[in-house]
Amino acid sequence: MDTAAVLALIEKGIAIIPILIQFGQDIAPAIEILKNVVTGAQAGTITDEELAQNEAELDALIADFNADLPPAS
Amino acid sequence: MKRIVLALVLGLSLGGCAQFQKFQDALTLTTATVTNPVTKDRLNDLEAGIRIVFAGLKAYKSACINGTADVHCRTNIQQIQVYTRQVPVPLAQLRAFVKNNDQINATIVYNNLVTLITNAKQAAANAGINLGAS
Repeated sequence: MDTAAVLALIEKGIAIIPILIQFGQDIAPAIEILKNVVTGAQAGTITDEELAQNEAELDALIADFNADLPPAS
Repeated sequence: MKRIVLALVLGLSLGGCAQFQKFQDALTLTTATVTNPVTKDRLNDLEAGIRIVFAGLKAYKSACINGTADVHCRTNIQQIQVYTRQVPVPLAQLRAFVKNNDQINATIVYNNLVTLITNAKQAAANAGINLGAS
């Protein structure tokens, strides 16, 4: 994994954390993403299993955001 | 490392528009070229970046549902969804191209995906998404 890319991802991840805190959201998922990025960088090339796991989590996140908003109360 | 620490300090000390700027920064992605191929590691980097972006969007949506975001949040989210709902298709295509090492198509789709995310970012900016009290 490219070191510059890893650092850029970590910086982006850190930048998003205050936003999560501001909206009272759990920061654990964002921390987990960063942890996975660092772990992957330490391990070298990502494995197919790790990639598949990360992709499944991303797909769930995208589907969650793309779902219709519930009716306004 | 200093840069990361600085980003953390700034992120925690600045509010309002600075938060939104950071949100926009988080959406910034680089383009791929023939000399800069889309490897599995690079795909994973891109997906990690998108995950971080969607973590922020999800936070905004959750706050909107809970009534703690701005009054225009529902419209803002719907405008952003115009772009984010287009993401799954090219993302799936990109994954397939990378795994088949079809670099020509992978590069095209990668850059299309980056453009799509950039458009989503622009939609957020046009909608004046107020992730803080700006």
